[in-house]
Amino acid sequence: MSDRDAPGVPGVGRLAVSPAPAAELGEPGVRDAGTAAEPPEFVGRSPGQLAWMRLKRDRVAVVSGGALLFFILLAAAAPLVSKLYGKGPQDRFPDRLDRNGFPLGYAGIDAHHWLGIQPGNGRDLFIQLVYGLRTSLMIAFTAAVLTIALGIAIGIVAGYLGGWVDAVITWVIDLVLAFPFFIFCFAFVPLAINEFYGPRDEVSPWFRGGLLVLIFVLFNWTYTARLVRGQVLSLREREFVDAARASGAGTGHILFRQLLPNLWAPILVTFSLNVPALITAEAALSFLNIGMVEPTPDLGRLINNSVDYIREVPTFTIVGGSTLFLLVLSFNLFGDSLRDALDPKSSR
Amino acid sequence: MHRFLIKKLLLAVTTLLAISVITFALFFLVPSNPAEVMCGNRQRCGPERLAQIEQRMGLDQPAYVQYGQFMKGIFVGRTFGEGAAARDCPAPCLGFSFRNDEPVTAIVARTLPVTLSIVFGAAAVWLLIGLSVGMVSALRRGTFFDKVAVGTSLVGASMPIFFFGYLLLIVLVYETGLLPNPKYTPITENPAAWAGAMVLPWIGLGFLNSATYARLARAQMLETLSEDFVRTARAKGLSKATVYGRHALRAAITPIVTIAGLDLGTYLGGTVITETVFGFTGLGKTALNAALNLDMPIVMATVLLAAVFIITANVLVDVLYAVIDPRVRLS
Amino acid sequence: MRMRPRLGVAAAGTAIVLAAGGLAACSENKGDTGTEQEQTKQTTSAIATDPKDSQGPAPEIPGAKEGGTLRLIQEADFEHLDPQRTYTVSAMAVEQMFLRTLTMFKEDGQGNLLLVGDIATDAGKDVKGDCTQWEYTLKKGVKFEDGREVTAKDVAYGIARSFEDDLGDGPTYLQEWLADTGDFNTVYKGPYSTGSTNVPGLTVKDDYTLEFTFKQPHCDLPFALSLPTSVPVPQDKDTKTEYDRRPFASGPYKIKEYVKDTRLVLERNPQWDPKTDPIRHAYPDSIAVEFGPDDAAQTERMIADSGDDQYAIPYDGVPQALVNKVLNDPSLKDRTITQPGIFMYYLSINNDRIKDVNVRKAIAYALDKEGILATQGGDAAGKVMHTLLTDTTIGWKDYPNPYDGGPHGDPEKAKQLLGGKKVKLVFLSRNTAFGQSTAPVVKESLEKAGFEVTVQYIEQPQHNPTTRTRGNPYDIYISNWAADWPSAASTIPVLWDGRHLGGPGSKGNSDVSYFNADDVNAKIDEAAKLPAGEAGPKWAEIDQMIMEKYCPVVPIYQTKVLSVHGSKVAGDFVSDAIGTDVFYNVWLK
Repeated sequence: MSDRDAPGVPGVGRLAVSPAPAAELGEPGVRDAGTAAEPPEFVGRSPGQLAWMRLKRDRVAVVSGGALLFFILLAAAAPLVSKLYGKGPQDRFPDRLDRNGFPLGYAGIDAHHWLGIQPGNGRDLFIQLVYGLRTSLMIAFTAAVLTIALGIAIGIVAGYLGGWVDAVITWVIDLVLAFPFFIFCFAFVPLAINEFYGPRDEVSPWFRGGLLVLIFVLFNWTYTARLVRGQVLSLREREFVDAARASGAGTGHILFRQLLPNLWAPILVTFSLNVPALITAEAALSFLNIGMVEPTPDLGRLINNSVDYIREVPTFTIVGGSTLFLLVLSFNLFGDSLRDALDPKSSR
Repeated sequence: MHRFLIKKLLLAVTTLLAISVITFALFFLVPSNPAEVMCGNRQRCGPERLAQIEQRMGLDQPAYVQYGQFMKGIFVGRTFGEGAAARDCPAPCLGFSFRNDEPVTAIVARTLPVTLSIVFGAAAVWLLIGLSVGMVSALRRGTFFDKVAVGTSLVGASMPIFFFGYLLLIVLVYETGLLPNPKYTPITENPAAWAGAMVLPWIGLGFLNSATYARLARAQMLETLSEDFVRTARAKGLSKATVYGRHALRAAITPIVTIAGLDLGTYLGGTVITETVFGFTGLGKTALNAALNLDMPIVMATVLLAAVFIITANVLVDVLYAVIDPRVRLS
Repeated sequence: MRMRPRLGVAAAGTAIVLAAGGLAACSENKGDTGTEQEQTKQTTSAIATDPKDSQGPAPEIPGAKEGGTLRLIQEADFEHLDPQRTYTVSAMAVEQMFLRTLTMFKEDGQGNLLLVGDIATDAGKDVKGDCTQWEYTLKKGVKFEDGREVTAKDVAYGIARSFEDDLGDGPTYLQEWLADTGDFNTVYKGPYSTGSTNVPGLTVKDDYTLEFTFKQPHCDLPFALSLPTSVPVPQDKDTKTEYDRRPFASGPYKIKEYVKDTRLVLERNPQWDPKTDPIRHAYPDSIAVEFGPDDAAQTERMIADSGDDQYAIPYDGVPQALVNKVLNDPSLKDRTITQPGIFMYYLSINNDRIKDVNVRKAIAYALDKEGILATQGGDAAGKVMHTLLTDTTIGWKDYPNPYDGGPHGDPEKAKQLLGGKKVKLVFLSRNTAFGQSTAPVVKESLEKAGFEVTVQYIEQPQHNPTTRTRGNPYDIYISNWAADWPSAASTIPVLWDGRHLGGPGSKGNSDVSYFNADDVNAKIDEAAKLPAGEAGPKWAEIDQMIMEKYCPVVPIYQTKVLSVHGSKVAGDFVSDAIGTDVFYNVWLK
C-alpha cells in the first residue's frame, strides 16, 4: 500500500528501489546513464571492466557482497545445512519447553539449538531462518528478474512506438500505482487457488509462491517501464539511432541492438535494488498473513508469530527481524556500491 | 493549464472506475459467500435465513446490478431493506456494513482520522529530519556528519517497519516504560493523549522515511550545487546564504515535493502495517479486516478512497511542480 | 579513494539493534513455573427449591464497604448491550449489573451454584410435572430506572423482540422451544415485523404471572431463562436496533454514558431495591468500562498497579506471553485468579466421511493433545481432557480415558487399529495464530500413526460457516464450545443429537461432527425429561457412552482462566456459569 510502511511494496515502484535513482532516473532524459565512463587516459578497458575494478576496490561492496554470498549459499544449501545440523524446519522439541510453552534456559539457546527454540510449537529457530531465507530469496529473485523483463519490454514498446500505445501504457501504470496492493493479494490468492485446486487437494507451496511472484510482477514492473521508456525517448533522437535508421536498420534491430545495450547499467542497478525491496514486500505480506502459509518457513510470518511472545522472549522477534534486516541491508549496500561503480558521476 | 487539468481529471475518473470494477469483480469471484459468513454468527442458519440475509445485503441480484447500485448510492444515496429493518444511507453512500450494522461512511469517519494523524505527524517528522540532514550533509560533504548521516540512512532504508516498530515497543515501552502503550484518543477529546499515543508511530514511520528523504535531499542538493546557474550566481558575488537558501534549495526541492506528495497520497490510503504494529484501527487495518470478513461495501469504499488519495496527489504534484520550478511549464 | 563511512555506520546501527535485544532478555527459564496443581472441582448445583433463596437482600459480605469506582478494561467493545442480542459472556457479566433476568445463578466462587429467581419469586414452577408447562411469578417492587414496576408484559415483550430477525444475534433456545422448530422465525417473526406481541406458547396471565407452554418437555427452562433473553423491555422504550446503545435499566446501576469503542459508564439506579435482589450487592458507586488496551497492556497495568488501576479488573485475561511473568511474581499471588474455564476444544471428525469407528479411535489414540495445548500456553492455558463435558458441568464425572495414548499420543496403538490401512485425512484449519500453531502438531502426530494428512488453511470468518455446512469436504477440524449454562443439556443435545441435523448442504449445523446414533438419541430423550436439578449423572453417563462406543470427536483440552486484578479490588471471582469475572460481590478497599 505504501512504501516505507512496507518498504518497497511494489505499488510504489518508483520508490521501491532506493531514492537516489528515483530522483536521478525518474525524470526521463535528464541524464543518459550507462554509457558514461571516465575519459580513458589509458587504453583498452570496456565500461564493464572499469566498473568491476571500481567494485573490487570498494570495501563496502566487498563486505556486503560477501554477506550476500553467505546468505545466498546458506539458503541454497538449506537441505544440506539441515542434514548437517540434524534437524528439519518441521521438527519440534517439546521437551525444551516448560509447562506453559516457553523455551527453557536462555530462550532455549544451547549447543544443539544455536539460536534457541520457538515458544509454543518448539521448533528450532536457526533452521527456520535458513529455510525462511530460502523462501525470501527465491521469491524475490524470480520476481525481480520477471519484473525487469516485463518492464523493459513494455518500456521499450511505449517509448519507441509512442502515440496512443504510450498513452494507454501510461494510463495502465497510473492504474497499477493507485490500486491497493494488499487488498488485491488478499482476494486474488484464494481465487487463483480455487481455480486450480479442489478443496481437498494439497496446494503446492510452489504454486502459492508462484502466485506471489505473479502479483509482485504485476505491481512492480511500472518503475522499470518508466525508466526504460524515458531512456528510449531520449535515445531515440540521438545520432547513432538516426544513423542506424538512415542505413536502413529495422525497428527490431534498432530496439535490441542499438537501444538496449545502452540501458544495461541503470537496469542492473534497478535490479539490485529491486531484490531487497521485494524481499521486504514478501515478508510484509506474510507478516499480514496473506503471503506464504504453514508449513513453508517464512521470515515475515516468523516475525508475526514472535509478536505474541515479545514481552517474555523478545529475542525471538529480534533474531527473526535482524536476519531480515541484515539481508536487506546487504542488498542495499551492494546495490549502492554497484551504482557508484557503474556511474562514477553519481553524487557521493 | 486548464486543458491540462481537465485532461488529468478525466483520466483520473477513468482510473477510478477501472479500479472499482476490478475490486468488485475480484471479490465477487472469491469462492465464498459473505452471507454465509454473516450466517456463521448465528446458532442456526437454514436455507431460508440465508436467502433472507442475501436478499437484505442485495446479494441475490446479478453482479452488474449490485455494482450499479453501489455506484449510484455514492451520488444519490440509497435505502437498504424494507419496513422495520430499513436503513437509510444518504449520499454520499459508500454502502452499508451489515456486519457492523452501520453505514460505511460512519466507519470511514471513525477510522480515517487515525490514519490522518499517523501520516501527517510522521510526514512532518520525516520532512524535517530528512531535509535538514540531507541539506547539511550535502553542504558538508565528506565530513564526519555526512558519513554518519549517509550510513544511518542506509540502515533506515533497509529496516522494515514491522521490525523497527517492535524494536521501539520493546525498548521504549516494554523494557524501560519510557512511553505508555499506544492507545488512540481522538484529538478533539484529549489533544495530549492523542499526541502521546502518536509518538511511537511518528518516530517509527517518520524515522524510517527520513532516511529515504535524507538521501534524496542530499543527492538533489549536490546535483543542484554543481549546476551552472548556481555557479553563475556565486560568481556574480551573491552571498552563500542567498545562493544556497534561495536558488539551490528551490531547485533541489522540486523532485522532493514530487516524491513527498506521492508518498502522502499512498500513505493516506492506509498504513496497514504501522497500524497493525501499534494496534490502531485506521483505514488500512479496516480495509484488511473487511476483506477478511468479505464485507464488500467497506472494501470498495476503502479501496476507492485510497485510489482517490493517490490520484489526487498525482494531479496536485503536477500542478505544484509548475508552481515551484519555473523551468517546467504545463502544456 | 575516499573513506567509505557507510560500512562503519551500518555496523554500528546493527550493533544497536542487537544490543536492544540483549538488553531485553537475560533471565534464565528454569521451567519451574506452573499453576498450582488444582484439584478438579466438582461443581455442585441445583435449582433452588426454597423460595427464601430467591429473596433479597443478598447477605452482607464481611468487611465489605460501599463507594468508589470499579474500573473494567476490555480490548474490544461489547458486540451488543441490547439484552436480546447479547451472546458474549463479557457483555452478560456487565449487563448483570444493570439488567435483571427471570432467573439467575447465585455463586460463591467456590464452585457452588444455585439457580434462584431474580425477577421471579423462584426458579419456576413445573405445572404438570412433565416440563411442558411452566409458570413464573414476578416479585413485587422490581422497578425500571424511571420508577415504574416491571410487569410480566415487559418480560414477554423482551422475549417477543428476540424473535425479530434484525435482533437475532442472541441465544435462540427459548425461541426454538416456544415455536417448536429450529426455524422459529417461520412461526412468529417478532413485534416489528408482525405488529403483534403475542408470542406462541407465552401467556401473560396477569401483571405478575407468566406462563410458558411447550409441545416438547424442556426441563432446562429455568437455566435458559438466566440468559439475557428474559430481560424485561418496556415496549414504549424499545428503540429497535438503537436499543443497543441505551438499554433501559432494571438493576442496581444504569447507563450514564456510552461512547462506542471508548467507554461505558454506569451510575447508581436509585429505583433499584436491594430487598428484591438475592444476588447483587452493588458496593461501588459507579462502574467504568474502558475499551482499547489489549490483554498484554491490561496485564502490564495490573502488574504496575498504580492510580486508578488499583481499582481495575481486566476482562481479557493474561496473554500467554505474560503467563510466566505473572505466575513468577509472588506479590501478585493474592490478586491472581486461576480457574477452569468453560470452553472445550475438540478435534471434530466428520462422521459423514469417516464412518469407520476404528479410524476415529485411531485418531483419538494418536493425537498429541499435550503438544497442541503447549502451543496455546500449556498448563496455564488449559488442561488436557478426555471427557466431552467440561469439569464445570453439573454432574460431570471422570471416567478412564478409553483411548489413552499418554499425553503425546500413542502412534503404535493407532497403527494397530488402522490395521495397515493408509487413511487420507484433510484437516481444515484457521489461518490464524491458533490454526497455524496447532495444525502442524495435529498433522505430525497423526502422520506418525500412518495417516496421510493434508492441511487446508481458511480465513477465520469462513471457518465455522464451512464446518457447519453438511457435506463439507473436510475430514477433521478443531471446534470449540462453551455451554450456555452449566448443564450438559446445553452441550450434549446441541453437539451430538443428530436429529437436529439438516440434509446435505444445510448450513449452520452445531453438530459439526455430523454424528447421529439412535441409542444415544434415545438416552438424550430420557435425560431431557428429568428435572434439570437431577439430570446431571444421567448426562455424565451419556458422555461416557458416546466416547466409548462412537468416538465422534476427540476432546483436546478445557480452557483455564488466568487473570490479575488491581490491589484494591475484593470479591472478584470467575463464574462457573458464564466463565468470566462477575461483579456482584465486588467491593473496593
